[in-house]
Amino acid sequence: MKWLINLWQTLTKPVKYLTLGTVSISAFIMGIIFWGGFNTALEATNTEQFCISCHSMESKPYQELQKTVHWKNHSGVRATCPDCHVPHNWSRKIARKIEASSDVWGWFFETVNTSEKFENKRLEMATREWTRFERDDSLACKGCHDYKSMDWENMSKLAQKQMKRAADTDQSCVDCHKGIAHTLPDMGTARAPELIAEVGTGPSSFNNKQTYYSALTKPIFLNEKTDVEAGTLNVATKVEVLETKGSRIKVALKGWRKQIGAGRVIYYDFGINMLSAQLEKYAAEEEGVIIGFEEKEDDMTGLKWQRVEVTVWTEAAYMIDKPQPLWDYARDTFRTSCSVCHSQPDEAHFDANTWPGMFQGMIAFVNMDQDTQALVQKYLQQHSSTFVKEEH
Amino acid sequence: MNRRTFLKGLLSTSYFVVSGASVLAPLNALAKAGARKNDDWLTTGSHFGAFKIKRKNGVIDQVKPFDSDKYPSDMINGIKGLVYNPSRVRYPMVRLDFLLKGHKSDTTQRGDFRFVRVTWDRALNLFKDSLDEIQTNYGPSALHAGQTGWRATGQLHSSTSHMQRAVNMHGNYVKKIGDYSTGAGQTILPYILGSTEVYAQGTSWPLILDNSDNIILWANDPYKNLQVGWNAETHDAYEYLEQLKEKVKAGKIKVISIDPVTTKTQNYLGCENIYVNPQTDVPLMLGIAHEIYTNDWHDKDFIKGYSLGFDKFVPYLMGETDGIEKTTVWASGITGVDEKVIKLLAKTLVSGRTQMLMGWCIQRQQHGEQPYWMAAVLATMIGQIGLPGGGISYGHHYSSIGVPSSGAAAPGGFPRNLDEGQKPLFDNDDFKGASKTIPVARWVDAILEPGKTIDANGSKVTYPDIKMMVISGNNPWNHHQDRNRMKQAFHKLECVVTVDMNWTASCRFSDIVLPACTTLERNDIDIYGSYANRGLIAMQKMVEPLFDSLSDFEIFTRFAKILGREKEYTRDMSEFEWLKKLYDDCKSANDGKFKMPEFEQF
Repeated sequence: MKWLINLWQTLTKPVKYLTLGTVSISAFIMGIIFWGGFNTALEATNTEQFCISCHSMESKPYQELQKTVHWKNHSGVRATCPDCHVPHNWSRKIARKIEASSDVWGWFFETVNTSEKFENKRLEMATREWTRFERDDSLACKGCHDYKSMDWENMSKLAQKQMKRAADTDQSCVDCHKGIAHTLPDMGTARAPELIAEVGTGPSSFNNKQTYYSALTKPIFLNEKTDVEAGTLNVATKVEVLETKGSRIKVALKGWRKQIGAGRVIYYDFGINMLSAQLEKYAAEEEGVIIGFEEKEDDMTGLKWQRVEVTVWTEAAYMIDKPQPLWDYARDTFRTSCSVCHSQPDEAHFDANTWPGMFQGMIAFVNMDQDTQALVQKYLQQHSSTFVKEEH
Repeated sequence: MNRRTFLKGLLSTSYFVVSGASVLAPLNALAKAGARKNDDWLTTGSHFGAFKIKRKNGVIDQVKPFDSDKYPSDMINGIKGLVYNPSRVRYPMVRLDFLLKGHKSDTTQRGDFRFVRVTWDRALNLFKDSLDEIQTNYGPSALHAGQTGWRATGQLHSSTSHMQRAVNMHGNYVKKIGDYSTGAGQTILPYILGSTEVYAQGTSWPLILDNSDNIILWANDPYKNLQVGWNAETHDAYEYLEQLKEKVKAGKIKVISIDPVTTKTQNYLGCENIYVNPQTDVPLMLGIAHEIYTNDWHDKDFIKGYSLGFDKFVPYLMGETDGIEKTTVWASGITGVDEKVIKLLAKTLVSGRTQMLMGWCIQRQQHGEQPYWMAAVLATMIGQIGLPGGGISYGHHYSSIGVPSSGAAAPGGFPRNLDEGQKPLFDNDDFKGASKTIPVARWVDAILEPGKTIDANGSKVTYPDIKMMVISGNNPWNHHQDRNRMKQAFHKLECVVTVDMNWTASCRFSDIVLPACTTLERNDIDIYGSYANRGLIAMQKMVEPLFDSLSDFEIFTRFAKILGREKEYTRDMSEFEWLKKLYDDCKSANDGKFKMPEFEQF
C-alpha cells in the first residue's frame, strides 16, 4: 500500500526538475502514441478479418452475405461487415464499440456457438441491428445509396412509387429491405411482406389506455412469459393496451360471442360475423380471460349472443396506431385482384355477414397470402352495407 | 403415374412448369424462339385446352393437342374454323340509319342487318360522340357497360377489362352483379354453407377416390363440362374420371347419376342412372329426407353441432306446417321415380361415405335456390360434410376443380379499374336515385321498366333508365331467355356498341360493331389450369389480325387516344412491355416457391 501512497504524493507534487515545455511536449507525444494505438485498435477491430475471427460470425452471417448482391455484383463494389454494422457517426461508433464488449461475453459463454442457438437468437440480434439502422438514420446504407442520387426513371413503376414515398419521409431503409444481406429471421410472421412494407411494424413503445390495431393475425398468450399460444388475434382488430412487459403487451378487446360451445370465438359486434379473436378452448374457459355481460338473441339465427371483454397478451410487434393504412392496402388489393376476371362489386353491395361467403367462394382465383385474405375480408365487412349506408 | 412424372411430362416449348427441375428442358427449345420458322409447331391456350399449330404460307394449316394434354377436347378441331370463319366481323361497321340519324335513328330497324363499313377512326369517334351525348343528356345511369360474360382467354387482352377501363375513362356507368352460370347458387349458398361454393376449390379427387363409397352426380355431367375452363384448360380431371371408371367397374365405388338425361358421364362411367322428371329435384330430395328421418338414419350429433334450423325443417318435412307429409309415395308421384328406388337411394346415401356432386343446371331454373338449399340439408342429415370423400360439392364439373392445386401464383391482368387518382372525363356519380349495380339477368327488365324497385338478395334495387349499352366479348342475346322481350328492349336503346370477332346476334342488333381479332392473332399469357395452376402458358400470335380486326388492347388504346388519355390508359407501356410486366410480377410472386425462367426465355 505504501508504494501507492508514494506514487500519489509524487503525482500531486508540482514538477520540480522538468520545464513546462518538456511536460507539454512529452504529454503531446504520449497523446499521439496513445491515440494512434487506440485508433489502430479501433481500425483493427473494424476489419472484416477481425469480425469473422469468431466462428459464429464466420459460419453464419459471413456465409449468408456471400450469397447476396452486397458481396458480388456487376459493378464490383462490396460491402464489408463494418460498412453496415459500425455506425458512421463518431460518437455513436465509440458507443457501439463499448457496447460490443458484450459480444466478448457472448463468445466466452458460448451464447450462439451452435447453429441452433444462433437461429434461436437470430430474431433478437436482427431486431437490435434494425433498430440501430433506424436510429442512425440509415447512414450505414446511405454511405453508398443516397435517395438524392437515385435515378427514378430507371426504376419500375412500383419501385418508383415505393422509393419516392420512402424518400419523402426519409424512411429507414430496412423498413422494407430486411433480409437483404443475411437470412431473414423467422419472425413467426415473415408473412405478408408487401402489407408490412406498407403499414410498418408499429411503434416501439405503447401508451397505456390507447387503442391500437393488429397489422397481422397474431398469436395471443395468457401472460407475458409463456410460449403456449392461447389463440389468435385477427388482423385489423382494435384493442386497448393495458401494459407493456418486455416484448409483450397486455390488451383488452371488446366484442360479442355466440353462446355455443366454449364461446371461444370473439366477433366485432352483436350478430356480425366479423372475427376479432379466436381463443383455444382452455383459454376461453380460464378465469378472468373473457368477462361476459348482457345476452341478446339474434332473430336471424335464433342464436344467443353475449357481450364480452377479453384480456390477453400479445407480442408488441405488428400493432399499429391507426387502421387507415390497413384499409388503404386492402382496398388496393381488392380492386386489383378482384377485377381480373369480373368487375369487383362495390364494398357496400353486400352486408358484413354476406361478404365472407362471397369472398371465400372466389379466393381460389387470386394470389393472396393468409393475412392479406383475412385483411381484405375484414375490409370488405367493415365497409359493407352494414356500416356504410349508400345507394348501390 | 405420380404427380411429379406428370409435371415433367408437361415440358414443352414456351411453357414453364411449376416444378423445380422443370425449367431446364424448354430453354434449349426456346433459344431459337427468336428465329421461329413458319413451319414450327407453335403453342397457345384456350378455354378448350392448350394446343399446337403449324402454319403453311402464313395460314394455319394443322392443329394438334398440346403434348401433355392426355384428354384433349374435340373442340380444338374447330380452331381453324374459329379463325377463318365466314361470319367474322371484318371491318368496323355502323348501322345505316344510325350513321344517318345518330341517336334519333329508327331503332326498329335493329336486326335488319343493314350496316355500312367505316374506318376505325370514324367508328371510334362515333362511339365517343354517343357516350358524350348520353353522359350530357342523361348521366351515368343511362349507360350500361357492365353486361360482361366470358371472354376469350388471355390475361392482357381480356376484352371486358379493356372495355370497362376505357369507357370508365370517359364516364361512369351501370354494372351488373352475379352471372348467368350460377346466379342463384352463388347468391343462396353463402347463407347456407358460408361460401359461394360454385367457384371454390373443392375436395380433391384423390381424397374422393380413396374415401368415397358412393358418389351422387346430381344433374351433373362432368365428362362433358370439363372440356372447357375459365383459363387454358388442362383436362387434368379426366385422369381422375378414368380412375373412377375403374373403381366403378371393380365395384369399389357406387356412382349414381340423377338426371332426366342419360349423360355422357353416365355412359362413360357405366354407372347407374335414375331418371327424374325435369325440375322435380326438390321433391325427390324431400322424399329421401323423409325416408332417412323416419328411419332415424340422420346424424343427430352432426346436426346439433354444426347446423342451425333443422328443428324448423322437420315440421315442414312431416307435413305439420302445410298438411302435406313429404313421403316417398308423395315424392314418387311428382318425380316419376319409383318409390322403391327412392327408398333404396335414401339407404345408399347413409351407407358408407357419400359424396354429392351437384351440377349447375338445376339452379338455373325458377326457384333455383331451392334444390341447392335442399341438397345441403340432405348432406347435413347424412352428416359427412368435412370428412374426406363425404359431403357436398357444387363445382366438380368446372375448370378441373378437385385437381390438387400447385400453389403457384397466377399472372394478374390488364387493369379493369382506373388507376388511383384517375377520374372519368364526365366525373358525374349521380345515378338519379337508381341503382349503380343491377343483378345480371335484370337488364332487359331495367330497359323496359325503368324506375321499378325490386327485391334482390336482401336489399332493394331500383332499375336505372338505360339508353345505351356497350358490350365486349359477350353475347347477351345468347345468354338471356325470351328473345322477343329482348328485341322490344333493344328498340328502346338509343345506341348499342358491340366489340366481337363474329357477327353474333348481339352484333346484329347493335349500331356500332367493332372487329376484335381472335386469340390466335395476338400475343398473350395465361395460367394453365384455373384451379390446378400447373404453370404459365404463352399464347403466341399465329397469324396477323385478319381483315381490319384489332386486338382488344389496340382497340381501346386507340379509343383512349381519342379521349386524349392514351398514355394514362396504357400506363405508357406497349403490349410487349405489359406482357413482360405481367410475367415478371408473376415471377416475383412465385419467388422462393417456383423457379421461373426469364421472360425473354419464356
